[in-house]
Amino acid sequence: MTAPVLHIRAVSAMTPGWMGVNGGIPAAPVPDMGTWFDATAHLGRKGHRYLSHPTKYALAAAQRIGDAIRGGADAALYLGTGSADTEHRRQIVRGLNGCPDVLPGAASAPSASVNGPAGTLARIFGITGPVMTLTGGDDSALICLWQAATAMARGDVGACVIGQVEHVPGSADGAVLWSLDLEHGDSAVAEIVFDGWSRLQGDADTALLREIAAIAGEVTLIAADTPQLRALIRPLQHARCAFEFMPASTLSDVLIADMHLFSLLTLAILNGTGGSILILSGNGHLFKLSCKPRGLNNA
Amino acid sequence: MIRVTGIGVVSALGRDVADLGCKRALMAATGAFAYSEIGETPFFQGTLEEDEVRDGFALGLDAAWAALDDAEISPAEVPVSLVLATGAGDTRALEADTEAPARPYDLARQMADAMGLTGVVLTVATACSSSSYAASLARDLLAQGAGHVLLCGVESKSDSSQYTFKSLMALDPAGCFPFTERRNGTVLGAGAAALLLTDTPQGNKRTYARLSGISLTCDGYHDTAPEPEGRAVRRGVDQALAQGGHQHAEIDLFVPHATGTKLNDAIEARLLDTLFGDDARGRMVLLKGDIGHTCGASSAFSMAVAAKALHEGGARAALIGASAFGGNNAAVVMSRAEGAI
Repeated sequence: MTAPVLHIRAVSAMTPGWMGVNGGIPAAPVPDMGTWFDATAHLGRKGHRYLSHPTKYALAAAQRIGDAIRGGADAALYLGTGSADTEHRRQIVRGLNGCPDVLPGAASAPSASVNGPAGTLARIFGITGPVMTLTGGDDSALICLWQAATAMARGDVGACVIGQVEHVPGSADGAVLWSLDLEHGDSAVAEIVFDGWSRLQGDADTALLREIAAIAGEVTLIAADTPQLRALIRPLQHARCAFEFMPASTLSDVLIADMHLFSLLTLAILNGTGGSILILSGNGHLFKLSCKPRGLNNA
Repeated sequence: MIRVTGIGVVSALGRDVADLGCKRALMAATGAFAYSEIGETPFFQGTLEEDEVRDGFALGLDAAWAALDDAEISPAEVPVSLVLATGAGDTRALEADTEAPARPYDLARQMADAMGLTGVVLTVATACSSSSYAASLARDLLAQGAGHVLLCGVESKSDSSQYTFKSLMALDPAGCFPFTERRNGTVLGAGAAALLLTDTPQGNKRTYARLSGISLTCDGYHDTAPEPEGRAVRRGVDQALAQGGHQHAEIDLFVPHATGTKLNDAIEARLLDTLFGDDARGRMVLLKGDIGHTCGASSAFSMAVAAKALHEGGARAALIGASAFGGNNAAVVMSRAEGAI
């Protein structure tokens, strides 16, 4: 099965430090983490009272690129999250442990399910192909990208939305979504090929260096910024493989934790990064992509 | 060809997949379920102790090791990937202290570290259909050369899940009676079911069954209720059969989602009658009346039972159904591995 060329039709971010479509990155983080999201401003006055915060974030992000989201039986949605149900479950536990007034009713029951945001998006955009929620770490959105590429290569899916939504106030809050399809178009943000992923075997440092060395030309490595990793890659910056390390500090400080890697990748692409991209996750997975940026319509 | 070569289960009926078919005698000995403190709602506990049903990590490990042992695979010798399926993850930390940080969906990595697995590790959480979605992910990992993939569905007892089902009036205090006139809701249960999947030649090793078709569809209709006509469910069944090159008449065994709720069972019953004829209901296995609704693990149990039945003979192919909050549906077709040991 040949890896298909995926066209990133549109990118939408709805986070405290970054709200925009195909760009729109602010210079400074939002000071008040608790009140950064105004549901009425983003979603209107009605229809969202019983939605969880993560569902509201995902819906607001999706609606901003609604023209680029396709419904139907050959449309899919792959959403990464590790926290979409946490706030609601904690509210239930508080209610059961002596605060019955806060117990949520049946109308907000979907918020107890971590796939609640994906279900709501599927309903609103009429997506009736595969709708999947992947959890379990900082690479869940990248595994979503793998699934999108796989389903499109197999012919099951013609267009999809991938991304990540989290609700950990003060750490990782918001949603970042991509709209992908197989058709070429002038408005595409970038062309991307998912070249594979694996778990680094044996000594992880050696394995990473071997993977980098196997790539001819420039490589962009996206990973959590640690002294160990900086020390490891320093010699490579003068070697045959030109090399760009993208530390967390290139991003607004509020975009960390589980949204970190996907947000960094999204920003790198929006900033015009092309060629080979390696992404090292906290689970020890190494993702390999090839990217060709196109013209952006900043909004 | 994707083969099931190992099975491991931990359920209210014990730790042997064969126990899943002999409910009555065991129930008479142990009592069917304990009552939760949450509004006197039932919970299917069976032979498991309270600390066991709360420990998703231990449930998952037990089932996963059993599947590997059954397949005679050592993760120290060959790379094994893990696809974990769960509805709520490990909620113990989250429910024990409402302020401390909790990572309920970190189970897969914890299990992989404890077992020394060296393949990729991922977690899918599409509520009660999670394990069938895990089968799809496992298929894709095998296609990219993973070699051996451990599919493990895990669901532990969770107060917040129990409350949520109660708030939807989806629990029946009298018990779980799928596909019967007296059905009036489900009873939640806990457990784990694991299947070792491989596409490598097995030599003289046992193969339980083939995984021959998987289709994932979404209703796109309502956040919790199923689409009443079951259109997406039917489309999924047709796609899964076509993938495996199966005719409807070849399906001899049915393991529907069968939660015991009014609407879900009615949709599935109508679909079975329409597509497979009136006698299909006579060839069903309805697990939730035996072990409770294990949510994210439930279709892993279904696949385990189907694989075992296909291996023991009689059926040529089995259809496993799953549906979930969010409108997620899955149809999995398993078939007898001809010439298998």
